[in-house]
Amino acid sequence: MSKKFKVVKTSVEKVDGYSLVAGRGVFVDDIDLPGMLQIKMLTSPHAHAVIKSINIKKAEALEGVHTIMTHENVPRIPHTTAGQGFPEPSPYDTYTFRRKVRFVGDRVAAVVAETEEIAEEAMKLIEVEYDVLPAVFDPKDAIKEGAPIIHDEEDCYIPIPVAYEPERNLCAHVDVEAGDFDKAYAESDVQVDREYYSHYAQHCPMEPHICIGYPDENDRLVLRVSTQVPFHSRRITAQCTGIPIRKIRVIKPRIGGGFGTKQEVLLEDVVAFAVMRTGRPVRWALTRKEEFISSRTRHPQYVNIKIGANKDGKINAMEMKVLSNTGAYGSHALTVMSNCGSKVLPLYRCKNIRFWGDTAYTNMPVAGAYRGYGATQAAFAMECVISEVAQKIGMDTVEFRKMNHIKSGEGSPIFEKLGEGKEGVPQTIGSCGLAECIEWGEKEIEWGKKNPPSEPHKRRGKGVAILMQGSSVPEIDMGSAFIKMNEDGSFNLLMGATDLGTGSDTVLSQIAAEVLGTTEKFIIPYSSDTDFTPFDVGAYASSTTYLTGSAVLKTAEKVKEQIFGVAQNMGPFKDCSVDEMYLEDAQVKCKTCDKTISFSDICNFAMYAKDQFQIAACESHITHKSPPPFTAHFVEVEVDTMTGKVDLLKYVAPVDCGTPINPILADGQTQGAVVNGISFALTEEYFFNEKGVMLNPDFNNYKILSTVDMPELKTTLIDTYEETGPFGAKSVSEISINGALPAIANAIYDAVGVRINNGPFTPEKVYMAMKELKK
Amino acid sequence: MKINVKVNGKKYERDVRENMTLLRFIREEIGLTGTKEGCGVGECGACTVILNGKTVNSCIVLAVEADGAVIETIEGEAKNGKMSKLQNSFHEHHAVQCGFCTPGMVLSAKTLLKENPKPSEHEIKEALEGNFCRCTGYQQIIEAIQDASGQMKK
Amino acid sequence: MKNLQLIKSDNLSELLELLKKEERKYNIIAGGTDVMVLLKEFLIDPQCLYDVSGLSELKEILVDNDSIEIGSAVTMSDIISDSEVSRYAPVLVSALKEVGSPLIRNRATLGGNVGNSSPAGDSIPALFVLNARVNIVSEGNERSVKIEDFILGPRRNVLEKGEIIKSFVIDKMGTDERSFFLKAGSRNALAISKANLAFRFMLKDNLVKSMNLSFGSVGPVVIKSTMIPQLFIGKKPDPGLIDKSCSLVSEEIKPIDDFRSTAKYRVKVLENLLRKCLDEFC
Repeated sequence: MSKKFKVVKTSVEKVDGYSLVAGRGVFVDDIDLPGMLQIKMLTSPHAHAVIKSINIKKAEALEGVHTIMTHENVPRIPHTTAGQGFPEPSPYDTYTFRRKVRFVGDRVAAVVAETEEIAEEAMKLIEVEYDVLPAVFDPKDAIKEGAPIIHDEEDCYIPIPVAYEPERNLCAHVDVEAGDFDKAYAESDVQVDREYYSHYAQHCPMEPHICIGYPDENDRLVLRVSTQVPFHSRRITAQCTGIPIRKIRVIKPRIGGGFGTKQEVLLEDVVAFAVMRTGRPVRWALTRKEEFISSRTRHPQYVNIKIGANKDGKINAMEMKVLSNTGAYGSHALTVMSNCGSKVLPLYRCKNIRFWGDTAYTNMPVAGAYRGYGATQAAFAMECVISEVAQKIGMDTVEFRKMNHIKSGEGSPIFEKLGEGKEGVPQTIGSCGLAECIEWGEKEIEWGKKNPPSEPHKRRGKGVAILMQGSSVPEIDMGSAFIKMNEDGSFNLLMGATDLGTGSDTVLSQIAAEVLGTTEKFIIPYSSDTDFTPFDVGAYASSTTYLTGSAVLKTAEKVKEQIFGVAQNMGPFKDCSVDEMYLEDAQVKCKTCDKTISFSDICNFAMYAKDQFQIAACESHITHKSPPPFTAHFVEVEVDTMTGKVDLLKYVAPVDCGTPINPILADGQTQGAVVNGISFALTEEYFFNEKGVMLNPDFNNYKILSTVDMPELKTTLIDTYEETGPFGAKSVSEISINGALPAIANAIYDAVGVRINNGPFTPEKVYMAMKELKK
Repeated sequence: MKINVKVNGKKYERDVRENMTLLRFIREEIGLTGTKEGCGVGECGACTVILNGKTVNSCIVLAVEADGAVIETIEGEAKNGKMSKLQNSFHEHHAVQCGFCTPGMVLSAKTLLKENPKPSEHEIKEALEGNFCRCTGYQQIIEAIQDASGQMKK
Repeated sequence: MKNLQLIKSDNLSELLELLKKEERKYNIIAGGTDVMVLLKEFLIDPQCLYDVSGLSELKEILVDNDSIEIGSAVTMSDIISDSEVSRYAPVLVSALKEVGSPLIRNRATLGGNVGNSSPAGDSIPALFVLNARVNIVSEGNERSVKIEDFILGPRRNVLEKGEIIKSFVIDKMGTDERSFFLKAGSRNALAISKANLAFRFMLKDNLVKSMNLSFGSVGPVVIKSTMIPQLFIGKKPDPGLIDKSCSLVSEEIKPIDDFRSTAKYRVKVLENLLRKCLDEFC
């Protein structure tokens, strides 16, 4: 299983590490263009209202105001902000500006002014009259008959053939069944039927959304965007504005984190219109408050799980029913909901499975892609119910999982039935290190050993959750790479894949270097710029290493062939066959003779000597599988019975991501995901008033974990080799965000005997649940 | 209002509007963009600079309040093109993912090590509690500081 | 943030004189950790700011036989690292460590925390149990009020136009006294209290000689407990007395439901926090 590599599977330095520690990384906002104007967005104070009238005259008259855009003066083009492949599996229910506002924070008017201060002043002068409509906030209410209809416009539609019924607030629906769930469930010895709710949360990248646009010297529109999806950004901006794609260039510089929220095309349309109208550079940066209210969130979901099992521990029947809340617009509404099933149900061997998913529109903040993408929400319910089933049978919850989890060589009917906007792709599991993950985790957490509490009024408990995710969207996502050789033997590696802090520039450079027999120092990665880099769907769906990595590998192989060809034309290798040649130490070598040619000589020969050409290649890749990475999360908690506070003592997360191309970076992905997951499980929460206004749009009141909240965290990488991946790699970035909710919930149950079915597990919630139990 | 400040050892005299924050002053007037804005209201630490020896959130300090002050930013950390020990350690431990919080983290860590050259893990955590990072989960950052202070558990 | 004038002085009487004459709407700014946020969020709308951070008279810590005087513009970091405050008023140090982050405490001042009069200001319950007096100055005038009389309601206090807080005078705790600051919140850093309490206590010959107790974040203002100390003073604490005192919590505090927490939880958790203090000492 273990293969020998030179550059891959080593923790080489991050290619942009030094510039970032020096503060020299150039992010979107780190340029200053002469004459740059600023945008501020006036947003709706109502959750649901029609704009009766809007008067911008006074605001426009303010000195320093250049233009103001509203639904009255900007074309109405239905589109989706979801940065997905075309045609998107998300409804075209969004317009740059709308006559009807659908949540508190919805766009009303954009002011373009000399300074942010002037724009803010101007916003106060805009007079808007609203016809306030009844609003609906809970998805259960939204799909009831008689609920206020949120998308009653005639021109919204979904561009793919799937269920879409906005007339009853149903934004998406999927149902699939394998075997006979009802029968198998009824015949099971043990049945558990539970509903879980996972709550609103925000990605909180340290850099909020930002876009700077300007016209270049040829009057093309250049957009510098903090985006995960530069090519989708270009396409959707063109769609919204009518500017042809050839006249738009999207540049992704250094990005300050994304986690899914930058898989949205959120600012570009307005910036593009502003540049068109003013001919000046224009900047639009969201404030942190706007980031919370008006950008994107995780889809809150009700997830109902039914599991039927036999006394011997075998799972007979599983049903998952999801009701997802997409908020006012349907970004990723269908696919996040589908992913609940497709990334969670296959984890357990079972013949009779039913999945039923609905996504409702509500007058709430708009949900979108968020690391985990439905699996986070569904794994919470599933992993808690799995533990409950085991306990009902009287089995240890880890033993029960060991007995039922999927293994190498096995498939699941769900893979085939449930895809993204269409049927899925059948697949059997290749690499699977889940058993090893469980074994490692059990040892590290000392499973089965009950530790005494640190104080008499505290209680300790341990919990577990096992997880899978995927690696790219099979037969939909495409990545590509372009490599060219330089005279010093270095290579430019141009990719549409977007490093947004993840380290993909480094990982992909390592893959190229491994094939090309050089070091990553001789690879110059550049991502991404729609003018210079080839197409890539972007950084999402845990795809970059597996998908773009394969494209890089193929491209490098092509370049290697060209290098061999050149070598053969050069004197020393005249008599050597290409089959005998290999690349090592930045040289072409031959297995039979001991001659070598340096890369530098190769490139110089190709460029200047004979039959001159640029050694270069571009290859693309699509995947036919989405091999899951696996993990088993274990946690030990201590619950304070006097306050309900849950302290995490230790969190253990071994991950099977196939070959880790860069082990420290892979570990960093796991650690970051785990801590984000813990933060979501324990403290992060949106609070709303009865009018749908978010009450805590700041880090003082929306609490993300800081250093002092960190538990002891143990992570490791379990070695497997995924035959379909580049050098055996699978994905790593998303999976570990999914474990904290269920693992901690299971540990709280172990400690104090209460099952909490909705997050976050705040002291108050835990305390009140314990009081309820005593009654 | 006219102000005089010393930033990374260099003197600047500028006429600034009173509502200009120290963050904007550093980024826009001095042109040092390593200091970032993550929240604008003193809650995330991306805008950390060292003001007269103390770390502060420069987004909620007015530039005019810094009149006469000595300011250190991330750009002053490397000397003669050579990264500091702390910067090297952050790099080696992969304590950097997106890098947006990194300048602030490094400055908070620097101030800590100046006052307390051998901080315990708990002291490191306390010193960094106002600097948020959403990418790393903090562990590699803490390890980088332990290593830079010569206390890496091997 | 709109533009506005900042008036700075290194001379207290000059500043007070200017302040007296000021006819525009103004705010006092020291470290700016509250004022700047309020300005940015458009929650206050002054036409000018008076910066007191340059006034040396406001930046001293003076210790005498039975009290400590802390200037209103001393930063929280400086108070925390002051060895005498740590020794003689540890409950204040514990409370201040809960405020914000080091970045905030390097700028935030006691004067700002009290002057801002937030019901969730962590320093205030500690000042209550230390019998703090607030020294207020204005042009040609000085007065001193008890901390509990200073704060009138959320973001309201007795400061009148032209007045600023000069300093706080707190009790110097005896070596035989013990104290505690306890807080219930979801997480440590930057957490705004859901409920907190400050507790100061002295036992002599097994009898309770003195007890000060205050509750924060549980009503519009910090609440000073009267019934619970009365119950204990002069008595030998026993489990019965502890039970009884905990049952009094709900009579003394009138918390409200807000998005951070419910009234019911706040009462329960304060009962438990109090029990924890009492169990420790008795």
